Amino acid sequence: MKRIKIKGLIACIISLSLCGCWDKIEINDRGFAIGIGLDKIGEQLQVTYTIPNLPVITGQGGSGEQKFVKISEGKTIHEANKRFNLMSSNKLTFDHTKIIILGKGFLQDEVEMRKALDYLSRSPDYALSLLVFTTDKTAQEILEAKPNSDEPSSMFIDSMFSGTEAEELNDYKTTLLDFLISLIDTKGGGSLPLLSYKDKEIRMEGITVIKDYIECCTLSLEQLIPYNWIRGSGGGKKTIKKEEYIGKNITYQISQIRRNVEFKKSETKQGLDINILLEMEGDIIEHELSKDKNEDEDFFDEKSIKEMEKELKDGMEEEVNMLVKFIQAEVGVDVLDLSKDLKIKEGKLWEEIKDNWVEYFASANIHVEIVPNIRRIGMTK
Amino acid sequence: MFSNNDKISIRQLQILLILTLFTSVSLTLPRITSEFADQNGWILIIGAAILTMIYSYIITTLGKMFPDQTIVEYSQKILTKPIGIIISSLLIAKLVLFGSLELRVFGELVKQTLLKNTPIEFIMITMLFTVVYLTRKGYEARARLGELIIFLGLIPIILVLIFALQDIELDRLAPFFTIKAKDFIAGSYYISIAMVGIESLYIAIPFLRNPKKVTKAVIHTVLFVAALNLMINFITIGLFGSAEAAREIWPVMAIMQVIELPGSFIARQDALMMSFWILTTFALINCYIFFITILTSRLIKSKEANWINLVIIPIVYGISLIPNNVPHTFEMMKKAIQTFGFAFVLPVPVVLLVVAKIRKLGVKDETNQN
Repeated sequence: MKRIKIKGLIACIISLSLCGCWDKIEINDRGFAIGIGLDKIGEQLQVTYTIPNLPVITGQGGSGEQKFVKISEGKTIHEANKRFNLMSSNKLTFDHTKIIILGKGFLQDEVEMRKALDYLSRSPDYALSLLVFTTDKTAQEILEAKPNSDEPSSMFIDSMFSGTEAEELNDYKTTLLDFLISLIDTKGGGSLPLLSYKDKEIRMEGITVIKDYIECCTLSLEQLIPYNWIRGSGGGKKTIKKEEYIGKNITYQISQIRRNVEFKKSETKQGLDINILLEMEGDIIEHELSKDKNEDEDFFDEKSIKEMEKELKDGMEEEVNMLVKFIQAEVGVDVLDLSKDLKIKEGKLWEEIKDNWVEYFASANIHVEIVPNIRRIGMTK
Repeated sequence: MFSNNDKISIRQLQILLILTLFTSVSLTLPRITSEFADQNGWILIIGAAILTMIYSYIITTLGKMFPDQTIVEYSQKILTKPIGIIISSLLIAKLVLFGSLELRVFGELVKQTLLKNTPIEFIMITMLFTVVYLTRKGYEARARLGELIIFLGLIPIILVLIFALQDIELDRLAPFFTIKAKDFIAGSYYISIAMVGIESLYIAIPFLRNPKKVTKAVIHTVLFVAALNLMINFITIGLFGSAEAAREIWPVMAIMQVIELPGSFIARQDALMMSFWILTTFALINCYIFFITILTSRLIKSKEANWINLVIIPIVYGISLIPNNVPHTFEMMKKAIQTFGFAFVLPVPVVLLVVAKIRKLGVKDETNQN
């Protein structure tokens, strides 16, 4: 009986001492930073946090804005996070962080960029799947923006780029992991989607190209169209889902592109000859209603289709080759992901030149050939 | 009804081996393969599997010659008592060292990812006591728990990793077959000696109901573990690339920071992975402590083995506290693998087997075994 009592007492002590949560933090006392913005202000790093007002967002009462925007400064992100606690009783939590926005000033500072990326990859608090963006102004401005949407700006940006419904922008999204891998593989090169806030709308304005860990240049939305033909969607996969070529009076909607890249060492000079063949499938979706039925340009005949394909080919090749020359001369970073094809197709050649790939890419003789195929012409002739 | 004769089946042995072989290297495997052979590290896993099958064949062949004895008894019979005692003592030392370092790695990872405010000492002591509790229940209880852990720990890890397949990029695994012969040999050798668990066959065979089938079963197990390791390596390198995988201390754990489980609202997916991994690590540390106990009790000819646990715990705990930090822990582990890893998987069993054959010791005809 005595032994049972002793065992019972021990069981009670263990149960009482091990249960419960002595260092608990209530969910209301947590500051879930959904978006983080990094700006360089003078010598300090400014970190902007968007923290959702949970009772308002979840419709459980409460009042005020849907989000709180808090700003903290420090020499590093960690220091700024610590200083956050000087102005808020909430404990900062990054478990649900969706986006990081890099401001214009931050993008000009190589050391800040390397310090921030090292911190983000070293800390287990940040998911490597969070999305990274740049802006041509300050990150604070984007995070404070009130776009025409029910959601806070950071959640709005995340939903713009994520999910199957975001088919236009999904191809441009870059995760922290993608960006880190790109920087490591290319010794400081990469590309990130560029956001701006105009007329109460947050929109994508192009792509910021990073070289040697700082902003190098920007590809505009117009340049992104041929960029997508040549690069493909989803970070260099061989096909894209949707892209358009709007010619003089015709719109060709591309549904699929097959990219085939061939590499060989140049016979005339030291470097590479790169031939890119883009075979496209697509439909004619727009034209002009004819004034006179006798002058009607009839697509319902193979010869007309062939002529149209030739016209499309010439126009598209001109655009894409201009872009390639611009990228080689002005950007100097392999944003076309040609190294990916080289690794798979010519492994030995890649091993030979990988340390000097940036130079080989910039000096390569790149020729792009496009074969557009028109498969459908819509419901009328 | 469960039997209670401290004997286990071949299937249970296979499960325990899968848990130990897999857990001993899985978390860091992609980093190791990347360090040796960049994106071609998967070839090393095949090389390591071939070497491990050779080790397994030799150890099980030796074990089947002495089906009722562990290495403690047959090493003394084959190579004289003093040499046998030295071999057994060194094996115990190896298991103590590896078990301690594995415990430290466990503590470090749990503290880093889950329990930041909990002292690492508390994490390790809690694990040790839980492990010892199971150790005292014998081999059969271990085997039964292994059957549970494989479903609760290992299979969920594999299922979770399958969600990562969609994010793999083939170019991160390219260029293919550009590995140098020197790196292939060095890497395969290192992985084969880092996969601890094969040594357990020195002790496990007397506990088997049917030791005749052990060689084939162990070789099948090694092949299965190699397939799992190939999958983990393929997914990790396909996600991170070899350069990033080599940067990560625990690259497999980092996978959980990348993948998004469908329909889930789990903020800390890495915690989910950790909870599965803790179960498999429990099986691994339990393996070390159990075999240390068995070897020691047989070496000192103690009828009761349970009290030995109480002596082992402070030693294992004390050694686990020696490394100053995480890099020091891995450095010690690497040195331990390079120093002790090879001796007990090839030279010792080969010498024992050759001398036993020369001296015509042990059971000659397998069919006569019980």
